[in-house]
Amino acid sequence: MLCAEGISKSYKSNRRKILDSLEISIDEGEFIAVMGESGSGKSTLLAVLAGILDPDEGQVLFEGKDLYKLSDEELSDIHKRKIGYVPQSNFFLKNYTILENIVEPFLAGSSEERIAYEEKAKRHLENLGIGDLADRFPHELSGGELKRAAIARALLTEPVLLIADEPTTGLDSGTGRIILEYLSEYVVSGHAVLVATHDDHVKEYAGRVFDIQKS
Amino acid sequence: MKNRIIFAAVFVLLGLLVILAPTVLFPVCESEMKMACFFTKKAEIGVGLVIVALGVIYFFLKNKDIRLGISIAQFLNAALVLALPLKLTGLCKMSDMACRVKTYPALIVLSVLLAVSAAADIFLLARSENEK
Amino acid sequence: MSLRRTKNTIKDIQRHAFLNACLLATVVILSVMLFSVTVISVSLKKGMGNMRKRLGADIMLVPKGEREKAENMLLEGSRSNFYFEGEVYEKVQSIDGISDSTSQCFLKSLSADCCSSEVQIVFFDPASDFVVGPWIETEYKQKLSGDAVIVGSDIVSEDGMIKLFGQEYAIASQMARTGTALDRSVYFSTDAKAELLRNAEEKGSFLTEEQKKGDILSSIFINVDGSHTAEQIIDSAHKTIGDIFDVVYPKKLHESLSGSLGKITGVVNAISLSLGILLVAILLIINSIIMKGRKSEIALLRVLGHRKKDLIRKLLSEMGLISLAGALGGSLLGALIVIPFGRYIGKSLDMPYLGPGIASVLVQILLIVGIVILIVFLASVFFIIHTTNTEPYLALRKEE
Repeated sequence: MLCAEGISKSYKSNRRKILDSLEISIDEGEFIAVMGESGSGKSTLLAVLAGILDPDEGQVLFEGKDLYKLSDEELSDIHKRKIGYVPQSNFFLKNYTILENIVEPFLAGSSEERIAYEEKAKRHLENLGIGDLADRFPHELSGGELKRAAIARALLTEPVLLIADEPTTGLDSGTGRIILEYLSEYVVSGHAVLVATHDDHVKEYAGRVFDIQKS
Repeated sequence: MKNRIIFAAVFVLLGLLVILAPTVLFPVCESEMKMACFFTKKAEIGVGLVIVALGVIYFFLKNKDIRLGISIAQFLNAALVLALPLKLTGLCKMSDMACRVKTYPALIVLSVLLAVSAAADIFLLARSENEK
Repeated sequence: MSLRRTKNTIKDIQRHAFLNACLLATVVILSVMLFSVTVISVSLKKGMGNMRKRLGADIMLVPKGEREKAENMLLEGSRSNFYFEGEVYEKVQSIDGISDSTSQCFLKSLSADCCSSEVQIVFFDPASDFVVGPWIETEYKQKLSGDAVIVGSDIVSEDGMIKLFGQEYAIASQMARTGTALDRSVYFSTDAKAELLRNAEEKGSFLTEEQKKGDILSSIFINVDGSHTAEQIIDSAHKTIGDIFDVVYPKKLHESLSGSLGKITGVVNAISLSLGILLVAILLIINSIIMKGRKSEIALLRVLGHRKKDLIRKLLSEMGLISLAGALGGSLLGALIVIPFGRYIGKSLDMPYLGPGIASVLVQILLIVGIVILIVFLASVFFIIHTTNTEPYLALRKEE
């Protein structure tokens, strides 16, 4: 499904190479944990694979197409329907409710589509144990609740690949387990999940561990 | 609550300006003879006092229906502020008299501002009633 | 923009209420300023243009010692009485080098209505006139009868009549507003002079000895033909009628007034330009703050699958709606202040002032709205494009 070769990336602020000629591939049905210490480049790698950070070198082939050579329309469509991304920090639109945040890409579309996605969103929120928070605003939720809402948002269109950056960091073990179980159920139906973490519990759910420092 | 304070303040301020416009700020023609603009000035003082009084009452009212009624009244008061010099009590005939050059334009501006404020409040109150 | 899209755009604007309110306030102030300055400028120029036409003679002869009164009357519209003997005009007409000449006679009057101030009565000869005529157009073509008058736009009459010296006169026509002293004058044909003065005396009005004579005139307007100079005409006039007159050069009066107007508009334009630059700078600052604050929001929307061009369109729609509302509101506010107070502005500046008609105001509003929307667009487009082009991950990372 996704194949990345020769990925190198450094930030302008420090000229140190964060990623140096990395290779990784992801197939359907895989749950991969990307592990490494803080500052090893896990988040950077996930961002490159998600198509939201252009690498200095290398290519990322998703379903045979180079993500960074696609037009903005094609890449946007992939982000909308095929790759779900959960950022490390809980970014939500402040003045939208949780439900509105999740279905935001479809708010301006037809009302039939919007209503259908709202139902889906509510199901995800129920499954993640926060169904009653749909009409609240982000500032009213705890960190764990926001993380679960972010996962519901990323899963809305049933993307073939879900990329989650540190989905359990800073959460209590109970909440972390709910999230990891939900993600591992997701891979069963032919989807793939890629998680960056330094939480060892994730290894219990992941089918493969990618140690970024050894790579 | 915020709207109640804002609109009450606006009504009181505009009412005070309606009183001050023909008397102090843009006074009507000075003359020993009581000309039309003298009576307009007196009438505007009266209307201005009513506008101020309604504004003060508005501030203390929590009931939205009564506040809606007061705003309708203020809208009509705005029409009266304009009708007085235009038709009812009138102004001096010559276009270069003080009442026509200064006072009348000031009353036009105040009338429009009061009408727009009242209309805005009517709109907001009616909308919040519909949302119920 | 469809209604639903407009509603969504309004909701998005409300979600960033404070900064958008600052933007709106800036746009309103800019629009008020642009509208007011434009209208005042145009009105002053129109008034001046009319003044120039009104001062259409090369030379104006007035009785000796009355030059200042005559200049004030022409420029400010102050009411005056001064007189020559009537035969002076016939003698002046015989001077070589005059292409056109006409006489006028002025009389101050109290209108019967105690709420009115004085009007200036002007007796003119429709046959030879070239000064008042241009203002009367088709009405001029009718011969003014003894009991019909033409009045300036500021003369108010509810029944089509005007009472002067106890006698009612039918208003044959009312002139369009000129923004000059013409607006406060009443025009009679010279034929009516004798009867009017007789009525005035019968009703107990005080007439001077000169006025009682009847055969009087106040000024002689002269146009010089191409082969002579004004000085030659004046010399000839001295020789013909003696040293009984002063000379007013109406066109030079206009030039000095134009000079004053030039200074006033120069100052107004300089202040407006400075304010305009300041406001545009404020717009740029507010836009940069807004876009900086929305960087992570835009990045998140890109991650969720929004296209760049859709985001640019969304942001430009918000800017467009704010600038439209601000420009419209500001223009209307400007109109509310400048148009009713037009006469006051003219009087304060001591300048002829002719305010715009409704059609002109509407055109002005449309123009200002267009200009302001363009300014806001230019002040925001760089920031919008820069923000949407930022790599989403970098924007989200900065926020962390």
